Parts: sequence; C-alpha cells; structure tokens
Amino acid sequence: MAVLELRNVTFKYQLAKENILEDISFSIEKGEFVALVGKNGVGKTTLCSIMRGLIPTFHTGTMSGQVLLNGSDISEMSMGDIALHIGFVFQNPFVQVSGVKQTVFEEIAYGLENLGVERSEIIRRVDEMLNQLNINHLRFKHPMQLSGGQSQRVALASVLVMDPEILIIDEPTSQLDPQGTEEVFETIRLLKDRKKTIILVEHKIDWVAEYADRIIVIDQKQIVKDAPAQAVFSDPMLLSTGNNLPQVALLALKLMKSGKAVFDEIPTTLEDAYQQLKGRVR
Amino acid sequence: MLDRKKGPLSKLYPLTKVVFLMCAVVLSLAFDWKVGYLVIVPLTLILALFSGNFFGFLKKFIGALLLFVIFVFLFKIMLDKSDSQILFQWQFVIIRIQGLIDGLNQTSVLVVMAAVVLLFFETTEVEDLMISLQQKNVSHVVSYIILSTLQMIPDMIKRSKVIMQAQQARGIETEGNMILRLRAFFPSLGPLIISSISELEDRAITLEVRGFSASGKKTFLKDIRSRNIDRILSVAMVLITISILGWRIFVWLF
Amino acid sequence: MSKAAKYSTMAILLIPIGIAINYVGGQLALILRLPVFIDVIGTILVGALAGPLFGAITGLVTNLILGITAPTWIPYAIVNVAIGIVAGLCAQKGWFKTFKGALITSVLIWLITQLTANPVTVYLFGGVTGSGSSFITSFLIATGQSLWQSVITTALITETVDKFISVFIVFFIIKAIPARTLLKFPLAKYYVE
Repeated sequence: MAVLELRNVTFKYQLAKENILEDISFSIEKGEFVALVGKNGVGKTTLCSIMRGLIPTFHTGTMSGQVLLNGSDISEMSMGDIALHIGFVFQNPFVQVSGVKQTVFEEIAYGLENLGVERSEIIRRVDEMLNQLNINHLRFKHPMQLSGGQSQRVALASVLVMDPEILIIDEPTSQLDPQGTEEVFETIRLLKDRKKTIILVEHKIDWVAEYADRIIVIDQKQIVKDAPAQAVFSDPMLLSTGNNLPQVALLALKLMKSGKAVFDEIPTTLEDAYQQLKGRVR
Repeated sequence: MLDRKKGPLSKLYPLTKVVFLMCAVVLSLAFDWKVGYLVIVPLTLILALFSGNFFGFLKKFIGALLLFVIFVFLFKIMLDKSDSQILFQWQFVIIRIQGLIDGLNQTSVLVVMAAVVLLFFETTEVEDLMISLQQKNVSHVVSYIILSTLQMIPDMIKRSKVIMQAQQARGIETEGNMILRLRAFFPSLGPLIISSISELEDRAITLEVRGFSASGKKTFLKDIRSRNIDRILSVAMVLITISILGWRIFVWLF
Repeated sequence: MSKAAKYSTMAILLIPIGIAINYVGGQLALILRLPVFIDVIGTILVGALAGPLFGAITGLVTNLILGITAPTWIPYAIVNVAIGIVAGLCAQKGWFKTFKGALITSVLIWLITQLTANPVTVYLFGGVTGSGSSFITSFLIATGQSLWQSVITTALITETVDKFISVFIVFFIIKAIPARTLLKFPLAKYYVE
C-alpha cells in the first residue's frame, strides 16, 4: 500500500485569483526517494504543505481532491498526529527554532519531549543525531546564534531525531557549501537505507540525480513528468520546463550531438557515465 | 544558561518554594504590619543568605521597592490627620506615629510579596518552574508562552536597537524636541512588530512539525523531581499556615 | 473553514510577541523620553487579532513577567487583562477596521483603564503608582486634595493621551500586516474579505 497518495488535488490560496496546482495525483511507496523538480514559484513548496496536511488548515484556501496518509484521509487527522508520521524541514533555517530552548542539544530534544519519549532515550537519540550530522561541536551553542549552514543542519537534526516514517525536505542545502551538501545527502542516504520514505525539493540537480529514485516534474500547475530519475534526467525535455539536466547528462548529450560518442542510455550520474565510458577512453 | 552559585534553595523542587511564597503572602494579608515586617521579611532575608547570592538579592529587593515605599510613607504622613504622638516636627512638616503605622500597614503585603517573589526567582530557573507545573498537569502551552516570551524580549530589544540605528542613519531624529522624538517612535516600533508577526507563520509550522500539538504526555530532558524533603517541607508549611490562621480566626471570634 | 477557525497555534504564538511588544514599546518610550507609557500596544494588538481571551492572557502574563523583577506590577495585571478583553470585544464588533471604530475603542480602553487602575492604586498602594507620575500625585495631595481626587487627576493626565496613541498605533499596524498573514488569526474575517 502507498504510504502517501494524492488524488486529483487542486488548490487555490484564499486571496489568489488562480489555482496554484491542478489535478495532482501520484502515490509514493514506502522507502521511495522522490524528488520534486520545477522552476521557482511553480508550487513545489505548496505541494509539500499539502502533503504535510498544512493545507487547507494552516494555509487557507480552496482545495479539492484527497491526500491519503497510510490509506486514511489526512484532513481528518490532527496536526499533532500528523507530526508522528511526517517530518518536514522547510526553507528558511533561521526561523526553524522552537524559541524556548537555550542550547542546540535541548533544541534537538524538543520534538522528542513533545512526543513523550523517555529521558534516557532522548539523550541517546540526540547524541546519535549530533554525530551523524557532524554538529557535535554546536551542542552547547544557542540555537539562535548559528550561521545559515549550522542552523540548516540543526533544523534537519531536530526533525530527523523524531524518526518519522516520511520526510518532506524542502531545499535543505540552500545555505550549505559543497561539503555540507554532501553530508546532508549522505544523511538522506542513511535514511533511505533505513527504509524511510523521502520527498525532497532541491535545486542542485547533480545531487538529486545521484541520490533520488524517482522524479516528479511540475510545470504550469501540473505534473508533466513522473518517472525514474534516469529517465527524467536523460530527457532534454526537462530543459523546456526551465530546469537543468545533470552536468554528466549535458556532457553526454553534447558528445552525442557532435557525433563524438554514442550512448545506449544517456548517463545521469557519475558512476553511470564511468561505467559506459571506461571501455572507450584510453 | 544562567551561571549562578547554587545554594540549597536552588536544589528544592520549584513548587515547594511556590508553597512558601503563597503561605507568606496569605499570612501577611491576614495580619497587620508586624507579621510582614518583623517575621516574614527577616525570615526571607535569612533564607536569602542560603541562596548563594545574598547581595544580589538585597540589591534587587531594595531597587524594586525603595521609590515606592518612600512615596507611600510620604502620602500617609501628608494625609495623616490623627492626633497621635508627634515624632518629628519642623516648620509645617509634622510626622505623627499614626502616619508611620499607616505606611507600614499599607506596604507590608507588598514588601512581603516583593521579598518572596524576588527570592523565588533568584533561586529558581523559570524553565524548572514550568517543568514542575507541567508535571502537575498545567498545559505545556502555558509553559511555551512564558519561556518563549523570556527569549523574545531580549531578541526584540536587540532588533529594536538595530532598527533605531538604521533610522538614525537615514536621518530620523531620536533626540531633540518632543515632537521629533515622538515621530521617531513609530518608524522604530512599527517594522519591529510587523516583521515579528510575519515570522510567526514559520514558527507555527516549526512547532507543529516538532509535535507541539501532539496529544499524550510530554517528557522532559531536564530531570526535575520532588524529593522527600520537598514533600515534608510543603506539608509542614501548609499545616503551620493553616493553624496560625485558625488561631487568628478563633481569637477574632471569641 | 470550521477546522481553520479552531486552529489556535498562531494565536498562541502571538501572545509572546504581544508581551514583548508591550515591554519594548515601554522601553522605547523611556529611551525617547516620551511623556507616555505606550506599554499596552501588544495587549491591544493581540486582542484585536485573536480576541478577548488571548488579549487577556497577554495582559496577565505581561504583568506577571514584569513582576519577576518589579513585584508592584503584579496587582496591575487586572488593568492589562481588562484592556485585552475590551480590545478583543471591540475587534469583534469590527471597530479596528475603521477610524471611527478605533476612536470608540480608544475611549472604552481609556475608560476601563481608569476604572481598574485607580482602585488598585488607592487601595493596594495608598495612591502610589511606582512610576514618575507619583510626583504629580504627591503634589496634588500637598495642595490639599483627597487621595482619590489626586490619583484620578494624575491618571487623567498621564493615561488619556497614552491610550489614544496606543489604540491608533495598533490600528495602523493592522493595516500594514499582509493579508495572507492576517488570514491565519482567529479574527481574520473582521479585516480580510
């Protein structure tokens, strides 16, 4: 059974003139890693809010269609119950603090306190999280006195520590340098290994191509493509929706076009390209 | 985190100290100035000696009340029309004993309140108080409101300073005559309020994601527990207070 | 819509902001040496956006928190609570939307302040307010007026302008808050079509 399913969802913000999304349907299986791709303002963040059940309760407007979480209608669940199932990390990291904690350690522990996790278990899980995201040195810092990259990782840790089955992550690396980005993607990979369902919005296409299983492309209020990562990222059609292709794919396409090389399948990841090219180059 | 010397009072369960606070205020309400000034305030001062920061406490205590108490005595003395014994006389200034007693009575409850409240917060972290209240089934929303406010105030002061400096840089006067200063008030406060309110949405989503609205019992990272000594002290204080009140009512009736 | 109306986290989060605004407004008035307090804007704002209950809580907690360092604030909590309630009730009549409504609200808030603050000052504090305005009161007593007369006169002098300014600051602030944010507060329907 799908863990998350959208059925013909259409939404218009209360004061907007037009729908932002129309007739969106897809379902996500347990353990899938899905990336949402589309140019700015196309409604990716809105879609995240819909999946998180923030629409239409929190962001008001007119919504039709259904969102099913483990088969039951999310609009009938309370905000608190949804928090048990879905973790959500959104864009601006500086505002993703509880506002009541004095240290990063306490900040990360806050969600677990709210869920009623035993004290010793809280300490164990927070410690684990600090190590995993490489932020142990921030443990005693004030959560409101962090740099962009630091608060982004603390925000991610604060949600991951709650161990939800589904994670919606909206641009988690916007404030991070390449090394920080890699650490975050490695963490996401670990989550995937633990059979977590992951939904990611991310502009760094090369990273998405390396890690995601499935890509949903949104353009002009609708889903224009929903396919495995390799299929989406090897198709130049993606360029016409205002998105980029991975560097590797662009290179391969360019080589093909100029007749320098022929590929059975356009490579979209480094490893892929290496496997296809290693026999030919000397 | 507050870094202060921990005295034995800091180790007590916050609610034990709340019981003390309430007993002290009730007793000072039930009696005249003598109980407040001669029993409870000295007792509080003695307890403050064990707080780890006696002079800090004394400074706050005096700072909080000095102006206030002076004015009350001034008013009472000026309004005193009794013919009680004159303590002091200089030209048209006459201080009679009744005026002083009126002043003592008027201020005793407040002085007691100030003493116990200040001592309480001198020896108790607000967060610990909130945890202990939550353990007694007070809603976590109350706790959130108080703790969030305590972080919000310094944060807003910091931001208001930044905004004021920016306004000054743009040529808005914060000195000069009153009209100028009044005109500086709005551009300083307005943006601060609007920006705080605009950030509220993200804060609300953050809290929802962290299970703020989750049903069920919350737990605490901080280990705040009441010990036997807390139970003994609380029961003793309540019993003492009730018996004193009982005796007072008995005397009053018969 | 009914579920959105029941949704209260935004209103809860508004309270700490309201309290901080009360505090910072008061401090700013001191820094700029203004002859007014401007220390209840937050209470009025929360009342106006979230209704009488939330306004009242804002007023109550403001004075309790100020009481941590200056316990004379605690009894005046009743004034701040009353202001929050009146602001909330006026908002529910839609009065914060029009200039005329704001004017009526100012009068009512000024009135409730007089009705609640003066008894506290006289009965609990023997006429002293703990602020600089006590100088005015002591001057009036020295000229031979009764305590009540002196306290009320002082309050009239210091509170009247203050409450009008405060209500109108809130009136203009609400006009400046983006509609999409207003939508998320309990009384949104009084401000956004």
